[in-house]
Formats: sequence, structure tokens, C-alpha cells
Amino acid sequence: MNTTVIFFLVLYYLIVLGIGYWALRNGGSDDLEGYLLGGRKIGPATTALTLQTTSMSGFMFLGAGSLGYLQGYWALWFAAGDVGGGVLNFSVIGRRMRKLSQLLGALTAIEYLEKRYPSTTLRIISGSLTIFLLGFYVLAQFIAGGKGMALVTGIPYPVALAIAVSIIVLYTFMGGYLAVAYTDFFQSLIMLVGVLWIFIAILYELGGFSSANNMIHALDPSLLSVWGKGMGFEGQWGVVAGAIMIFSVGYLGWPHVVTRHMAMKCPSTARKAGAWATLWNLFFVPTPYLIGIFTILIIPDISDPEMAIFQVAGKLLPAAATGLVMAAIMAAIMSTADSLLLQTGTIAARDLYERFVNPKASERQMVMVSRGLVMVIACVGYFIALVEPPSVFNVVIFATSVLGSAFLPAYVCAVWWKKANTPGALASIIVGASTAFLWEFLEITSLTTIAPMVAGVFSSTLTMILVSLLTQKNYPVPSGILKLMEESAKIRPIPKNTIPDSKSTLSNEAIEIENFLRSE
Amino acid sequence: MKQEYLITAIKVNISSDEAKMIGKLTQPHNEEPDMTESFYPYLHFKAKYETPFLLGHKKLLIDCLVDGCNGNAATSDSFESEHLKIQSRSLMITKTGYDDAQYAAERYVINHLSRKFKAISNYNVSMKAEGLIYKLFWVFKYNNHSVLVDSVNGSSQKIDIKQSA
Repeated sequence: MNTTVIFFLVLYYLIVLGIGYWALRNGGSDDLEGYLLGGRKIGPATTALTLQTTSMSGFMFLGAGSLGYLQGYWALWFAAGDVGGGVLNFSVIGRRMRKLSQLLGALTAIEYLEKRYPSTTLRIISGSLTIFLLGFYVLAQFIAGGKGMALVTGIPYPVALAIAVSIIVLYTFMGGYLAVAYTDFFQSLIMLVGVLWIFIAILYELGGFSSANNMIHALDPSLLSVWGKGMGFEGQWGVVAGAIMIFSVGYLGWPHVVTRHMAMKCPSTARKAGAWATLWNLFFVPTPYLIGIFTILIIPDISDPEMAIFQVAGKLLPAAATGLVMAAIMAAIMSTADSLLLQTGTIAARDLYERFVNPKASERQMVMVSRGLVMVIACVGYFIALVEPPSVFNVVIFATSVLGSAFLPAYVCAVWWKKANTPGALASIIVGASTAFLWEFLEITSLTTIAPMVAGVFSSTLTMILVSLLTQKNYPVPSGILKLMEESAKIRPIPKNTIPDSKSTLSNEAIEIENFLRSE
Repeated sequence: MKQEYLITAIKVNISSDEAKMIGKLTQPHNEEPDMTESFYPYLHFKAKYETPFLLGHKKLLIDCLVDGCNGNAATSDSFESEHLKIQSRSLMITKTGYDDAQYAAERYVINHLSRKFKAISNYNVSMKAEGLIYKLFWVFKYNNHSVLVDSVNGSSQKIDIKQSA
């Protein structure tokens, strides 16, 4: 166990707590936004940095590094999709969904689906499916946390895993303690600096980018190709399409990501933040993959490639920096895990328990349901991660493929296609999820060279179109929903002299005032 | 004789002239619009919440407005109010009951808190009903379209009410 690393790891958390305490004493404001956002002084660039880094999960540090280490430059197909994913997500459904969810009065992503496609069956299926798949995603974070902690502290994996799972669960139950934007910002900065520091240290060690590439070429030229180690994916465009789609269009079907659109405060700020986020993605997203690729040259015999980034950081950075970087990586893992657990708990309590089991449930009862589910996920997750831990990469890709395949057409058509009706959405969710699941489970990719995501999205989209058109006569979209869709489509430039920070969505008021004036 | 009502309204931040300027940005011709005022109803609640910290608590106040027409809740910035005498024809009628509004407000605030704090916790929020409050919206009617302008933040939206002949 490296005591210097541990010392700086502890120091990091003391600094984070100190920032939280400072915000508590000096936030000045008694209103919630003022406290959380430091009196609203945080601009789009900081917002983007905070959002992007907190959305980076254990995948970026374990999965991405491992993929680069094993497959070379082929891994960058995943990064290519990720770079544009945020903007694609924002421009395709972001603003329209923000308006439509407000008009429908929906608080959760599943409630939004039920109100757009009126059906209790749809809510039950969507809610259960999401809980199951987000549970898998959380499992990846548990494994990442356990592995990271074991390596940093030197304690055995089962103990490290238990500590990581306990910290994540405790953090989810007590999140308010650290919920100030300054804390997120500090963590983001350390993470960004840390990853870039590792990358620069690698380039310094290898004599620069070109020299590193030459060395990779000397070792195995296929690692420099876009077809993977040993040209294993040569000509497999179906697999490449899947790699690009995972983090680009895949985002469009993630309930925990689309919820952000519903919570978006001001579309103009979000647009600027989107631009900053893309710029940031351009620099940050490919870096963990590249670190993985070049680690082959520095530590060629890593038994667990998922530890490539941790190991190369330990080898090249000073102990103090390693401690800080490790802490920031752990913070990123925890931050993603608690978002996922919160979303899972909310769906269980609000979308299933309150809606179908106990409509008069008190808030205390719903918290108990949420916490109960989180504990179940923690126990099951710990057991799986201990007995037969799958790779973080495989778990994330599986969950993303099935979630994206199931929900992508339902979310996209909800705002873009007026003929998308309830039977269409229901069939699309079931067919998309089943196709991607079976494709993965039966390993059909190796036979067809088509990735599960491609097959799943194709089948769910086709199902949505065919079933909606065939059932249009008997199940037309209710006229009230069509009117709200028209309203959500009204997107226009914001007048130049509009007061800054103003909320530019007056959709609800506009509809009611329109009716009021017409009736006069 | 037109009846007058005494109401509590959110204090306006922009003048009708400024609102008119905002409305004019939406149409290319220098056309003089007809101006109508509409007072939109909200049920106002104040939520109190004590956020925990390792070395103490911080009391937070959250303003929540429930749309009086469709019952949807939303948090809002803190605002000042004033009493106004207005004519009944510009006053919109509330369709949301207090109990429903309180339920919607509490549900929204707790959901908002859990999302902001990213935690599954018992948010012991105390809700206090502050009463019915109105917000002024101006509607500028042009020949081909109408524009709705918010009197508090100046945001605007085109609506489908045409100039009567």
C-alpha cells in the first residue's frame, strides 16, 4: 500500500468536504438554486465542464482504456460516436422534449412515455426494463470502484469491492452533503487535469506522438488500423456502425439521460453549454482510449487490461498526483453510480409503486421503496461482481445496446412523428429490447458481423413505423397530444432584447391564454 | 359597468413599452398592434427545507407555483408581489383546487430536491400555501399573428390569435 497515494487521496476528499462547507457558510443565498449553484454565477462553460465530467463513468477509465489496450486504434470508433453524441441528443430531442414534458406535466422519463403514449402496460414494461438495465449499469460502476480501490490501496478485491459498494450506497443516501456545483467543478478539473497529465506523461516517456505510433507499428501494425488487432474486424461495417452508434444515438434511448432534457432550465444556456461540451468532448473523450493504446508500450503484460489507466498512472506519475487522480476517478465513478441508483429508485417508487401498488403512498414510504431497491441492487451487484465479475466494457455495452434499442424510437418519435401511437411504441420497445438482448446472448454478431445495437435499433424503428401505421385507424394519437406536439415544435430564435436568464418557454400559458382570448 | 377585482400579482419587471418592443421583433413590418392584458393565475406555495451537512444545516426556501389552469407545478425564482385593481375581463379563472395544487407542489419540490441533491432521502419539506397570485401577460395582436409577452422576464411566444376585423 502506497502511503503517499493514500495521503493525497484522503487530502482530496478533505478538500472536497471543505469546499462543501465553504459553500454552506458563504453561499449567502437561502434559495435552493443560489445554494447549489453559487448564486447562479456559473456560466455555460463551467456548466458544460461539470456536466460532462460527472457523466463520465467508470467506463471511461476502465472500459475505454481496456479497449484501446486490446484493440488499438479501432477503439476510437467508440470515441467518434461519443464526441458527437451529446449534441446529437440535444438537437434531436432536447428542446422539443423539454417543452413536451412540461406541457404533459411529466416528472420522470417513464411518466413522460406513459403520458405521450397513454398506456399503463407501457409504463409497467418500460419501468421494469429500465430498472433491470440500469441495475446492470450500476454493476459496472461497482466493479470499477472495487478494482480501482483494490489497486490504489492494496487491499484484497473482495474487501475493496465491499467498501466501494458501501460508499456508493451511502453516498446515494446522503448526496446532499456534497451537492454544490463548486464541488463538482473541482472534481471535474482534477479529473480533466489528471487524464491529460497521464497522457502527456506517456507521450513524454515515449518521445512524442509520432514516435509512440512508430513503436506501436513496430510492435503490431494492425493496432494502428481501424479494423482492430490482427485486422479482426476487417470489413465488418455492421460492427463499426454499432461502435459508433453506442454512444451517439444510444444516448437518445437512455431514460437517465433524457431526464436531463426535462430538467433543462433555459434552452439558450443549454445551447451554449452544448457547444462547450462538444469542444470538451473533442479533447477529453479520445484521451482514455489513446492512453490505453500507448500503455501497450509501457506495461505490455497487464493481466487485467481494465486496469491499464490505473497502472500506467501509478507507474508514470508522482505518488501525490496518482493519489489525486485516483480520487477524482473514484469520484467520477461514484457520481455516475449515484445518478443511476437515484433514477432506478425513482422509477421503482414513482413509476411503479405509487402508480400501481399504493397510489396514496407517503413520501416516506416511497423513500423506503427506493432505498430497498438500491439495497437489493447493491447485494446482487456485490455477489455478481465477486463471484464472476464481467468486464466493465461488456456490461456497459450490453446495457447501452438494449436500452438504446428499446427506447430510441419511442423517445424520438414522441416529439417528431405525429403518427407514433401507443401500440407502435409498445411493440417497438419490446421488439427492440428482445432483439438486442438475444443478439448479445446468442452471440449472433459473430455470425452476421452486425452489432446488437444496429440490429436492435433497426428492428425497433421498423416495428414502430409498421405497427403505428397499421393500427392508426383503431388507435389514433389523441387530439390533445397532437396539439401539444405542435406546440412543442414551435422553436424559434429568442429575441435579442429578451432579459438574460429568462425562461423562454411559455407553452402552458400560451395554450391557456390562446383558449381564453378565443372564448371571449 | 365592468366589475373590478383586487388581486395579488407578481410585480412586473418590464414596462408595456418594452414588451411592445419585444413583440415587434417577431414581425418585419412596422405595424401597430392591439394590446390586451391577461392575468394568469398560479397557486403559490413556499417550501422550507433544511439541507444537512456534516457540521450543520442550511435552511432553504423554495418558491413553487402551480399553474391555476392545468395544475402543473414548477419551482420559481423568488419574486415581489403587489396588490392591483383590475377588470374582470382580463382575469383568467382558476381551475385547479388547493388540495390538488398542494399535492402537485409537494411532489414537484421533492422530485426537484432529489434530482438536485442526487440522493434518495427523506426530504422533510414543509409546504406553506401563500395564496392565489396572478402574473400579467401582454398579448400583442398583429394582422397575421399575435405575440404573448411575459411581464416578469420578458420572454415571448407567438400564439394563434389574429386581429379581429
